[in-house]
Amino acid sequence: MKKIAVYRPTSTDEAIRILSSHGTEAAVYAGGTDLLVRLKNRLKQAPAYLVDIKKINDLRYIREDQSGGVRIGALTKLAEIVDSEIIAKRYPMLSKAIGMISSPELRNASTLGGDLLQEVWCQYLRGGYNCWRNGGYLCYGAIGDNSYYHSAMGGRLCYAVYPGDAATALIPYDAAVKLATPTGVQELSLEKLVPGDLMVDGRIQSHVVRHNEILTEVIVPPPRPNARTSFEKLRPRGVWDFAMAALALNLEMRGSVIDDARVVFGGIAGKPVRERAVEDYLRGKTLDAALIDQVVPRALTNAAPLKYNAMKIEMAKGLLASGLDTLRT
Amino acid sequence: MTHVDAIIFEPLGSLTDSPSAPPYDDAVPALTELKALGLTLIAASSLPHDELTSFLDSSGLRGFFDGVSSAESTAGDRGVMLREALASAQIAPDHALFITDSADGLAAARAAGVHGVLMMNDPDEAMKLTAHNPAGGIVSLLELPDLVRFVSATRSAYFGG
Repeated sequence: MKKIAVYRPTSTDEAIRILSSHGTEAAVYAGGTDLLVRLKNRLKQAPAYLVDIKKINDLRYIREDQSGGVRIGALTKLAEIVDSEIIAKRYPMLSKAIGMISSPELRNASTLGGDLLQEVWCQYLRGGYNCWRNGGYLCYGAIGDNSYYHSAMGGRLCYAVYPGDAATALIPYDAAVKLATPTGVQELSLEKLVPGDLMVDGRIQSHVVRHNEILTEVIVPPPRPNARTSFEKLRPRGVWDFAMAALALNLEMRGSVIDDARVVFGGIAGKPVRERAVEDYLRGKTLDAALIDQVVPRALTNAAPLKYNAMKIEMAKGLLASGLDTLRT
Repeated sequence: MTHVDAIIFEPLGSLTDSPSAPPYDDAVPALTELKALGLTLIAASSLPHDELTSFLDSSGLRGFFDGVSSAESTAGDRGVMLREALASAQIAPDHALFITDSADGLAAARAAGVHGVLMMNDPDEAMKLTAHNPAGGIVSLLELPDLVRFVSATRSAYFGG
């Protein structure tokens, strides 16, 4: 492991000042379940300065807001979200999705902010290959074993899959986040937080957060009336593993008719894939077996699987069929 | 390498099948974006000059290119072909990429002092070709504008193969 220095600021302003002074050599350290592994993996892109934000007050909470929605501090542990009665009662799909992340031990350590902003888990990156995210200029996943950790929906230089289940489950609730930045607080939608691979501060990453910005809060609007939600995840083992494919559904129903829909796939692309074509097709229609048969072929028509991962698309379509069927009954 | 001034393209369609073969699906949108970035674009091939220009004309790609170069005029030496093409465009080899899908192409790039970028059409073949130390690799021509921006953003001494 490379030599590192650790700062322990007690306010977001102080943390931002430290982050700004070290540029991309510094990174936020919270739960550590991603960052410390990157250091242990001896990745070139791992930071030399860790800004431990756990001493900052008031970033770890789950509270109702005036609109009837919920605010979740970025330092809130995943296990605390799973254990939350408010979340379980009002956002059961989020509770289920987060309860399926990794293992109980890691959910006790991992934070919501860390899950949203985690680095990809491509075996070539983590194995120290000189790929796009690690000081090189080639995606080994695109030409090697891409059966698990790589996109079946195309890529932009890097073909690794965005691994965060929390984002997949939050987008159907139209959730947003707050970022503390050197110029003040910014609010943006979850969808805009993780738009897929892009270049930020000269690095390829899945999210838009700059090196001197800190994710502080997740804002979840009030649940929709008559909502039916579902989260399903396919993975090699029942715990620990990342999604081969995942699906988060949020349907606003009027009797058996779908008034509005959110359909978001995870584990198949460099970002959570909100499938608007399917949402549009579902809107205004009666949720029945015939509709499921009609809509599944309309999903993921722009898929671009690599050599070994076409099954991810079949898995995702299967989840759409089973997810809608679950919500039908 | 601090930035890219020019890109030399070898594979833009299945030319070995027929000079009238259609271009790759991603060729036109990629070339359009690269032209908008202000890059010098050169088409190069080991095929005879007439076959190459015939392909570029029939595929509608000719207008994108500032130069067309064939190894026919350099007795099959593609390294010399690359050097001459860049000299006539007044581009320093260190600021040029050569897009190729073969070991010979990577060797020619190295001989010319150009950065050879692997077009990874066939995954298994591409994995073998990584042993020839390409400067970079892409799956689609559409990734080239991002590659150009990435090189400029990182200004990396590493890029060079």
